[in-house]
Amino acid sequence: MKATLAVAAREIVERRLVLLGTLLVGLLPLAVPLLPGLGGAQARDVRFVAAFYLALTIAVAFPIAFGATILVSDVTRKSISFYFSRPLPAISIWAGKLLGALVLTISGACLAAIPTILVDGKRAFASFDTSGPAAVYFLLTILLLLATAHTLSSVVRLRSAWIVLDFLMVAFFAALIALALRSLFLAGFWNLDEMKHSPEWLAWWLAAPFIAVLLLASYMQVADGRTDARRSHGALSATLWGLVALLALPLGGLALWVSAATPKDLVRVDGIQAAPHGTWVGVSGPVRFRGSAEASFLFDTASGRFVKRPFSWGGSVAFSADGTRAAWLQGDLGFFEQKMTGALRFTAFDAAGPATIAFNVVGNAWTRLALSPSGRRVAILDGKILAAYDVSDSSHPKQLAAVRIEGEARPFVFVDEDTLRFFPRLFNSNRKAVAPAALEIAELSLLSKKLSLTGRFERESLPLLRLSADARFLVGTRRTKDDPSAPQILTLHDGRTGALLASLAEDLRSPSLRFLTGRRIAVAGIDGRTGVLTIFLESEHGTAARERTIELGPAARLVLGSEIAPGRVAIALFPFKENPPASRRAAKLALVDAASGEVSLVADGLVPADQSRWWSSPFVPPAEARSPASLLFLDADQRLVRLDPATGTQTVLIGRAK
Amino acid sequence: MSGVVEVSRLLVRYGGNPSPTLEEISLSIPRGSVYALLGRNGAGKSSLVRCLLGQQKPSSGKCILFGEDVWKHRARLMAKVGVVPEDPDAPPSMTARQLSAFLSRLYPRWDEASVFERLRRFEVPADTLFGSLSKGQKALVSLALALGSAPELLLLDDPTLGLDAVARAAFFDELVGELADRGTTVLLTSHDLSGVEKMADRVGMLKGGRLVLDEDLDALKGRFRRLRYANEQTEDPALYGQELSDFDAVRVKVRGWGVEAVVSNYGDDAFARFAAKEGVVDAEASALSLEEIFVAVAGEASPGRNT
Repeated sequence: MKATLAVAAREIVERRLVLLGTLLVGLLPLAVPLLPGLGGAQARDVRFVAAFYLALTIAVAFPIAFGATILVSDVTRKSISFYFSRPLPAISIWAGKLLGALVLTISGACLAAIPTILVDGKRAFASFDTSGPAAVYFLLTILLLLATAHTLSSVVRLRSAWIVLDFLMVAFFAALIALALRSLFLAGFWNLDEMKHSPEWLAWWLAAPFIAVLLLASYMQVADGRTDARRSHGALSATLWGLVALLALPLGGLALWVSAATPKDLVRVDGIQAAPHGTWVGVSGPVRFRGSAEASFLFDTASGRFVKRPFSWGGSVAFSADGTRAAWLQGDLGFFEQKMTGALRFTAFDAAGPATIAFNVVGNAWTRLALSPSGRRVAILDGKILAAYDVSDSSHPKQLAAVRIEGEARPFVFVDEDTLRFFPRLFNSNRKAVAPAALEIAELSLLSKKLSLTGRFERESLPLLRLSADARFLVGTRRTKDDPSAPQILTLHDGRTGALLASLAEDLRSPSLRFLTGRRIAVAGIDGRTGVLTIFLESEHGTAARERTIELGPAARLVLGSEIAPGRVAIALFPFKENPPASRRAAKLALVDAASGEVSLVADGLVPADQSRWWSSPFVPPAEARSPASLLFLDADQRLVRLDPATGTQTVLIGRAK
Repeated sequence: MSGVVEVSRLLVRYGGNPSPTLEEISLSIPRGSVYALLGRNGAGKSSLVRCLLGQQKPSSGKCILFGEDVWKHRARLMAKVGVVPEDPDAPPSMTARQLSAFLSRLYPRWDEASVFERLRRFEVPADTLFGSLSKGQKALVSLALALGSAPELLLLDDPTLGLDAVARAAFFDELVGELADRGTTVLLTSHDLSGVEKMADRVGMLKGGRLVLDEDLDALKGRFRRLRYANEQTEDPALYGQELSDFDAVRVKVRGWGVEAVVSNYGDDAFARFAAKEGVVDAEASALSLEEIFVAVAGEASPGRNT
């Protein structure tokens, strides 16, 4: 330590005139009041700003200047031998010179501000953050500049053949690190929003190792290179790139590891969308051992095959009614973030395996899309232009129509291969703002390319809508009060005209509905503290008549699932309103026979996977009765589970037990 | 190994240079002796000195000072070593007084009084910036500082290069005094062979990266002689020198009056036999100075290399 301080002191003494110069320069802001038109508080402010920027300039310029000269010039001038022929350990030479440069920089910055402080008092800089972290950031910044300047200066001034390696390595590792960081950012490995500290924290966790690498390399340069310029450069390069490789290669490996996640790596299923038919589902969730990264897949619950989709705003996927095709909008990737624009992806689940095609059809996060029942046609509403394509030949999509749709963007579905139907907007949080067009039901013929009005909702009665799989019915849910826990009114409407056909519930909390086989309609909800399922039968006139009401038992909340067999509905009953893990674990899965009213509790902690969620499209058809998707459930750990209703056997398809 | 300095099979090769600067050098310097390392410019003297100071890592081989590898234990060993470099490397912005104060914090024993006493004797101002001193003054300040720690080993790398006669004399006088007082071991490289000759116990000579000579100065001077003679046996100059077959002739020159040769294995008996040879006329042998021996041995040096 004594030797280190001796070297540092020598450096400072040698450059003492620089400090004297900064003190003199620091006097310049005091001349501010002499400028015409300045005086009083204004002069003080200008003086402070001048002194601040002066100190800042010194804090930036000095480490660059000292970093570029203090050690490198000693080597190039061969004067470093003065130290190496003394009983000075290499670390004392290195640390002494580094310490000297640090002291000179900090002293210089302070000296430049001292005259202003003496005149205006400490209040001139009172607004400065002088807390511990700020001081650490300041020190790290100086070290970063110092170490970077030293390294660059060494590379340029030592003039050895190692410079070729330096250029190659800097290009290679810069590309590797940038690509790795990009991949990790895009995968959400670091969740900046949820990080304990601000993004600066992350920046410093990347910058601090970089500083450490540069400093260690410069130390090895001194310790191993000593007075030999070529060897000095070699030691610097070998250490620098060796350490960078030690950090960058694992970083690259981590990026590959994170991006190589498969459905088996999903810790749990946070989002699921099941194809109405077939065995394919869209799943997304966090992946294990990969930080905050989440992944999204199309997953075949029968074979385990999958298609990876970047986790993005385009998370929602449109399945064809027959479950053979899927389409989604995949956000374009910027350098470190996903753009809000994207292009269409189309997957055909052929027997040979899923084949995904990227179409040159662009959209954005607000673009809506729908697939025809056969999946051979896709419609995209981007802004006010609705475009429909024939994707029978998935490698050559053929545009069928491009129609301007006036008014705000509204949900739509294919009611058959040639007809698209537009519905009123989904939410009505601000009823006064609803434009008349937003209340309309209209149909677009892809043959005639004509848009024709088929129905209309009343503004006051605009409900939250869901559509039956065959598009014959619309179901509206309307609150009786603004209180979300208040009972809601569930109404059945004609899917084409919007005409009110029947009121299915008026006093249930959180009512939900399923269209069952045999023209039955199941309405479930909470009545008081009891789960209730009411079965309606469609009449020939399109109205619904109550068949029976079945009490399901105590429940604060319920989820109405699919028909696992014709007439048998799965319902999860929760003991608490909220959805904490305890409530999920305590949930009871009931199978209800709509015809007989028989209720059987088959399992604990299972919730139907095919459930309506507020973020999923209300126009996605539910899983067909007895389809593989109707047997999918999420357990208490949010694992995707297939239930054999006959034996009660549960097979975990995705997710890990906690 | 018992010497203060032990060099073993030292090989130094720089970068892409195919031929080594130092090739399999081995030498030993016993305690208290003065070893003069001679060689032409580029012979590798400074490389050897840098290796001995632990500043240059050998490509292979070892440099041992006081029984320890100097590359590994440089800092500790330098406490026992005083150095005067070929190019004075002290910071130019410091005075001799400041340099002495700085070095006093680094060495376990530092005799500041002796430093200033020497500077006084050298008539070098202690408060003038080192960078403002003349080359001779810088060398003398370097010597004063090198002796300030009372080193057990002095490494002097051509310290008198470019000095005038007075400065050279002062330098060597101080060295001789130091040696007389303390018996310090010295490794000296110099082109001032007359100065070296007064001090050196042993001489090594580098030529083309190889140590071609390494022996006591007296023995060296004893076995080198200049022979002058006429040859009446033949008039063909190309055949001159054949009569020297009993000697190792380092150099043979045909003059107008006859032959001048430098031999490296002179002996009185051998010379008597040589002088009696048929055709050899007026043979005479004369001793050589160190400088003459150096010129004879190193004269046909291989092309110079940067060291």
